[in-house]
Amino acid sequence: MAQPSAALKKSFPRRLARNYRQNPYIYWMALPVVLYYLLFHYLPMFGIVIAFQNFRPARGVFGSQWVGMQNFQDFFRSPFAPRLIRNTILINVYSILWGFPAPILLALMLNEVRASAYKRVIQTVSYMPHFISLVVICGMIKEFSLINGLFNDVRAFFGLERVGILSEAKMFRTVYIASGIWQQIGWGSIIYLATLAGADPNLYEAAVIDGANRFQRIIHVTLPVLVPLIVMQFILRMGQMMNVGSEKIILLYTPLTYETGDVISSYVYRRGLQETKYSLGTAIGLFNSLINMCLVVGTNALSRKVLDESLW
Amino acid sequence: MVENKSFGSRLFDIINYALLGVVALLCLYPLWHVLMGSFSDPKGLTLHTGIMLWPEGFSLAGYQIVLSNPNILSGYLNTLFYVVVGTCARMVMTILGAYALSRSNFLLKRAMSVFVVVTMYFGGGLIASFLVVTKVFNMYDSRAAIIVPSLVSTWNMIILKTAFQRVPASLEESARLDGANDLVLLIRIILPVTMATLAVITLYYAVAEWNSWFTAVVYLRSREKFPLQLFLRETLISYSTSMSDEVTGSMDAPDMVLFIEELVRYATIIVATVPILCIYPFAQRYFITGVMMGSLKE
Amino acid sequence: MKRKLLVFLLVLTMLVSASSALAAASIDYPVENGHTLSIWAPLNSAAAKKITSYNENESFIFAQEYTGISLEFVHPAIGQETESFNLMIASEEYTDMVTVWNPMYPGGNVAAVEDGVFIDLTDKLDEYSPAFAEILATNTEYWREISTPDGRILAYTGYKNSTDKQEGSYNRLQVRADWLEESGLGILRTIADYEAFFQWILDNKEGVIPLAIEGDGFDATLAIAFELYEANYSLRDGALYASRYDPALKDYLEMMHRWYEKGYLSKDFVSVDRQNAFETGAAAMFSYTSVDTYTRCASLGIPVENLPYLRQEEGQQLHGFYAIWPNNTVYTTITTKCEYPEEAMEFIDFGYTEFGANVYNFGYPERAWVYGEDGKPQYTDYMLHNPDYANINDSTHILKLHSGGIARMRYSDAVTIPDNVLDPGCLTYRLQWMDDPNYDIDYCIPSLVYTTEDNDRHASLWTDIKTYSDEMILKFITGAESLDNFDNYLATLKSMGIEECLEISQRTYDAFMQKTPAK
Repeated sequence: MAQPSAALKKSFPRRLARNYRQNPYIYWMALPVVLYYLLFHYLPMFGIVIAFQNFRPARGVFGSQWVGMQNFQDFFRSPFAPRLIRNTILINVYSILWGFPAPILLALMLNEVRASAYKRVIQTVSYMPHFISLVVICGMIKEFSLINGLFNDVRAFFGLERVGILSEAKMFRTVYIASGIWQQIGWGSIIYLATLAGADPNLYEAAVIDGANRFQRIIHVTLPVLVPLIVMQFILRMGQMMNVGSEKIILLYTPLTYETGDVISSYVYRRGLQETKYSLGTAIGLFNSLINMCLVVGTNALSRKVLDESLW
Repeated sequence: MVENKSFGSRLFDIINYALLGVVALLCLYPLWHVLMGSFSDPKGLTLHTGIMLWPEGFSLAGYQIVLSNPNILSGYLNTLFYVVVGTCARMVMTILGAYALSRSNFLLKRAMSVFVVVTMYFGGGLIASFLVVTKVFNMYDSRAAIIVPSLVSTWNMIILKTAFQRVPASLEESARLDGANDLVLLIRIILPVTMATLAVITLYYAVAEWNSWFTAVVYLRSREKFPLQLFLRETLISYSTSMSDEVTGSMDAPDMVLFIEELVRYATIIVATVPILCIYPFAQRYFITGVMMGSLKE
Repeated sequence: MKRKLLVFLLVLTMLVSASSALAAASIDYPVENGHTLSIWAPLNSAAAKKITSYNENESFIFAQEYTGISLEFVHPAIGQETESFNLMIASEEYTDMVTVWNPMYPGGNVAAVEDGVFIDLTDKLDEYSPAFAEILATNTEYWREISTPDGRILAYTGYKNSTDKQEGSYNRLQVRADWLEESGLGILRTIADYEAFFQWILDNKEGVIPLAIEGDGFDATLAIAFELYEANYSLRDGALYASRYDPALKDYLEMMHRWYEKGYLSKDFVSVDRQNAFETGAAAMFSYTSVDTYTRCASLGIPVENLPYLRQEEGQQLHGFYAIWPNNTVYTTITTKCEYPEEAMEFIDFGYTEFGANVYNFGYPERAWVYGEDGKPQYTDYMLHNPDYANINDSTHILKLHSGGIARMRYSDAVTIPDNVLDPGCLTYRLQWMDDPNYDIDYCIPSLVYTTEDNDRHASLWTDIKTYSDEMILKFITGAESLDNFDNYLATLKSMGIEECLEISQRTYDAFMQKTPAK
């Protein structure tokens, strides 16, 4: 490989100045956004320090006692820590496995509908569960999961035994994820539909001319339009591997389903009932964030290598 | 172009329509359940179990309670303000950011991307953010506190960036040849082409703001600035019966004290959601016109 | 000579203290130059239906007029109190006074005083809160409960002036009176009685669950027969024990497992809403609060009866699971931002005088109540039949101060809740079975206040202990885990540190019992 000659090799500040001169508007557009992040996201970051302190609000961040890794040890010392982490990750893995493709599938199916009125109606109805509060959704699930409830009626119809669904640890994830899909599939499909709306119709026509059938058209024309978006969404989704919200878990779980349903956030919540400890929550949050960030970097690197799509 | 009317294609259509119909019914149910429940009478609703297809006894008591809250109007107006002003501000910021991030000729593109993505994973926490907003920027109890600290959603910005990147290079090039600078390029070419995604991001921001209440709890003190959701929450909590030895029944109107909680919850959801459902079709027409891909010139 | 001097000094001391006792006056209200003080307090959710601030509460209106000190209430958003409180502290802009249900500052009030948020009240009480100081002096049990481990007073708390500790038991087994009568079994008392009834239900009432219990499997009204309690710790022969770690738990679980197998409990009991089940006729018996059940069933037309607590055999001495302690948990503290702490103390003290307590407990004098012939307050129609209020439940937070707001002396609910006055049937129902001679509350202890280090240690161990035992209790009942493994369960709890928790708590309790006022 030829070495660039000294004359061509410019220093970074000079390249930067040149870039600015050539594209001033970009810099001015980026400025307010960067400022926003600096002031409202980076400035408060000193709060991360709380994870290493025994934080008390009146002492503030600069006055609270430093305890080093103690908050982390506090959490990992618990015999349940491995289970909590495992449950958190598994719920997310299955969520991604089943829940990630679902809105894409719905968007593809809707896209194939030619009757405009039917399409609009279905699409509108599909996002409605998103607006029903979690408390109500979980209330319905709990009712349907009773031995005499709807879900068991369906089970009995197929010859299965009636069981208390929310008492079975092995069914918890299914209920959690399936209800999540039910609630979010419509809302999540919107962005994919929007992307398809902006696609080039000529590609489609060309495929028909080439004799492609319905399935082939979907796979080879429709889907590729979505690929950049799908990849972006996937990478970002991987960055949530350690996040499982406590609210829904707490509404649905019982001690009988702790085995599969007790996650990091629900445990921290119960711990918070014993005493208010900001430091613990912050420490665990930091731990989660580190893992999430690593996953994002890893997934992104993979995506860049294989698909040439990258988050940055 | 003649449409492919093969048997396979027809079968596909039938199955597709049917499946979508099932999905729609399943998704319709929760709202239907809540709607029917909201028109029920307190006792009937509380005692009911299982599926609800019709109101259990008819009464408007739930709505009376929720709508008779003297703050409802003020709540609606405030929320309207936060949604409209907030969404506009956020869209401007997000568009600017997404544009910059989508330009391959931007030297700092990578740095800025990392810069914003990191904030999705690391943050100072509630107390630190609170201190910055109230102490450094003096925004306590101001409407600005609802909008400014959350001006940009990184997730949305990345989605928009992806959409901007997908604009065909040919369009860009021809615009450049005509002497367009970045601003013109953005406004004349990029935005119109990505209208669908813009509509969705706008919808995401608007709905998020409509549903939000926690920021108001943290930063607002004057009740005349409270958004709708906060009042609805208050109503809901104040009508929750709690299990304690201090609960006294009432010999007059026991239903209104003892059995009212679920009814109020349902009425609250309807009151909060109906406006969104009404606005939605206006946003929908921007992205449901993907009819282009599915059908051909018929 | 020395002896005479000693006697002389002794007499002198007694005279001085006697005269200072005489001089322990009450405060002269209204105070001169009263200022306006701000107070942060959660607004009761039921009150929020009608008012937006306690400044509209009639008891407070009168109290301010009478004492000459004004209040300005700051209410956090309902449901977010702890968050709001700590943010307020973090921003260093707090009000003059703070009222909370339980100390919300991390580390409790001791830490708050240490960090300079609240003031230490101990030395000023005699002068500025004589009525409160008097209560502390005469009621050692109360003093012990609310003072710190080293004997300081950091907060005013609610003082329950009620002679009957037992009045508190509010949770009972509620049964369908009509079905009980049909079965001909009479009042159920022992395990054998209950089982006979359950069997009768199974045999005669198709599809009805005999007993709907709490979802966590540990039902206090049943476990009491085995001397097991929901509270973390109970007292027996001077030593604390934890019901989760008690051998008797095995007997309780055996009984519950037997009931589960026989179908006396729903196979779904973990998820079933027991109140809903009872009210829809799907269950014959459930445990719940008496007052709530009475009023709801009266409205629904369901004949209901409550039962004495479960016993293993007739006449077994039962040790109740709930006692009323003088400390009625409402904590009012004065912050270091208050410019007039003495005035704040004087205002709060009003609630501990007899007249002041009447104002808070019964309402605006002459308007909501008048003095009856026995010298005790009696409600007027303004309170009992007020046309502005659809139901009395709401008015109790506006026409008087039912709970929260500010710490003060409280009388028994039997006297202060207007509804109990209106509906004696409800009151009778609630107090039923209280006259049981074989019932005491000797095993109850007040809530323990740990030092910050102990609290840290205890909390970090207890979450895991509770998680594990909650899970195991249910597994034993459903049979997912065999009771043969009960010893493993105990051993696991031991390895989780429950004995350390017991030791910490025992130590705290002993220190608590030995605390005596310095004077």
